[in-house]
Amino acid sequence: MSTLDYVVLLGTLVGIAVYGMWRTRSSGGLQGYLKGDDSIKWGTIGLSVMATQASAITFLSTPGKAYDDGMGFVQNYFGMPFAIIFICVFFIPIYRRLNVYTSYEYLGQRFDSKTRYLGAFLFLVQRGLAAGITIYAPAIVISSLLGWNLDLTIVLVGALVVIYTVSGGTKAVSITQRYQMGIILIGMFVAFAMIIGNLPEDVSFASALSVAGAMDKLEVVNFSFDIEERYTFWSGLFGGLFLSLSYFGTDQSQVQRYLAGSSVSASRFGLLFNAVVKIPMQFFILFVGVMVFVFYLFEEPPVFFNQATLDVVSETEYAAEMVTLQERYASVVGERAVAVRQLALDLGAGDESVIAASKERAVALESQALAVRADVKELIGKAGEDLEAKDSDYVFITFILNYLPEGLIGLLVAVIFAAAMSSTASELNALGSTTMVDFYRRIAKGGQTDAHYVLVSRILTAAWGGLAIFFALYANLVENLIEAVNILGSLFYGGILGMFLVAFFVKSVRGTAVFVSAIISQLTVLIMYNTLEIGYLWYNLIGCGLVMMLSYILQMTVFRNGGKEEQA
Amino acid sequence: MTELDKKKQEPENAPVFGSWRRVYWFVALFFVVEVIAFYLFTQYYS
Repeated sequence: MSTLDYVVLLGTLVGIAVYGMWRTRSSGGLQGYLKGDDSIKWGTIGLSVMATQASAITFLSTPGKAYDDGMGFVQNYFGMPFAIIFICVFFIPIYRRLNVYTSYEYLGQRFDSKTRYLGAFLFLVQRGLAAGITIYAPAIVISSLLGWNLDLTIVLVGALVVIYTVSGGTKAVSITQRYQMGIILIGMFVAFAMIIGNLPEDVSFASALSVAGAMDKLEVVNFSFDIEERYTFWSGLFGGLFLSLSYFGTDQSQVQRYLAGSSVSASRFGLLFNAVVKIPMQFFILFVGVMVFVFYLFEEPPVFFNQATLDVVSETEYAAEMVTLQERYASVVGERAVAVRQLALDLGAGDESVIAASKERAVALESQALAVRADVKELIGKAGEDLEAKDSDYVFITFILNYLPEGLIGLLVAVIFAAAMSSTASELNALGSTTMVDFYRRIAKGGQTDAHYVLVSRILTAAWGGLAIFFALYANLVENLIEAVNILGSLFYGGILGMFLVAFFVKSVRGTAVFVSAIISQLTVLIMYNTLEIGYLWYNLIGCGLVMMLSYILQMTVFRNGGKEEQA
Repeated sequence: MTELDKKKQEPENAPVFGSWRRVYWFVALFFVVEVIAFYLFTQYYS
């Protein structure tokens, strides 16, 4: 990166953080610190909810996923619009009427203290781990490509987030997210324009689309009923519905965003904004990844996108074998480029039999290229057990660093870090709030002043920030990063959602029954995940269904004569 | 809905389309249109 890139990067990230702190320098008591004085408008809520969900992982992993597997991942979000409608109808009016700070307060009011603690505890475990991954993801990718010190990158990015989140609370988080999201959207459109601009002159956008389709990268919807396929219309609609219901309805990092709204309408409209724009946005990000794939059909891509890993292999006994594979790859992708260019021409001409022959040749060469890449990954695995043999998270950023002009590289790296910071800020804000409201205020101290609670909230937020940075420092790259976060969420969210749905809709069930059911279902889900091959989205549905069914059965049998529990 | 949830309903107007019910229908129909568009897109380029 050049000096100009560093100026753009630091100016963007530090500028937004400082502006957020300045705007919230006079935030008042606990209500202001944790709920932004209920003053946030729907537009800011909408962008804040979007920025919370869209972490750096979204912008690193998603294009890489499309590069490898095409557009099918967008189906993951198909349940989201219906989940948000459900939340607008049932959850938001209740949360706002009860004037709760956290969603788990509702569990306490509806059931009892232990159920509230369990819900809050599951959230803290799941979100605490995810916060570490959120910081780690961009740091590992960008530091390895730019030669930065990984630990220093993690600490600097984490510290910047902690400073403005601790300083300004919920309002600072929402205000900074508005500008971070603006930078992210501008950056992604710029990247897309640059990819299209970098295609060969004789390959039009329409030809690029046709080539991507011919290479099976544009299958957006898949109506297969195979439960082992990760992304289908049905798993996205039903599994995604439960994942989104739990994420937007019960995860404090999202609930806190819309509870800060100036009215029920502001909260609802901010969320519904996401119900409309999220799927097109994900489609666009995946589409950017597919266009990177098309771009690399005409340019020679690296045989493996994580250069740092290749450098390590080159120091081992497998170096010569790697060089051979790289030479073979260069030869295959060279032939592939010629075949794809011919395919693009033939697609323009429209002769079906000629197109079929060209496509067959291009696809065969693509298969050969994939086979070489598979050999490279196998060799990397042999060269070192600690070496990560997946490179999809490095695809998009490699393109940015190699093909974008000075200044824009800084902007796009800022996009990645802005996304990481916006998500982390929400997570830390929510972790601090939940620990404060659901544990500290109830267990440790009662009847203190507002200023005391604000101070403790700041300390807790900072402590969670420190813990997230610690996790990030000791994390290892796990499969595809965005999937790691979604898998982690899917294992916990179903049970939490089940507790809330029982609270809302099954009047006869009391706290002890739902508490025991939630623990049994959580253990069951963890065992199933470790023993069965089921698409992870289904665990949202399984966990939720188990809690609802078990709690009803237990209430009707074992706890039938149980008295009314203590409300919290 | 449980008793705790039925205490009081806040009257409020949707900022567009006249009622929240219509806003929800709009979101649902928008999704259906999206899926149809994705399906046609998939078919066209497969």
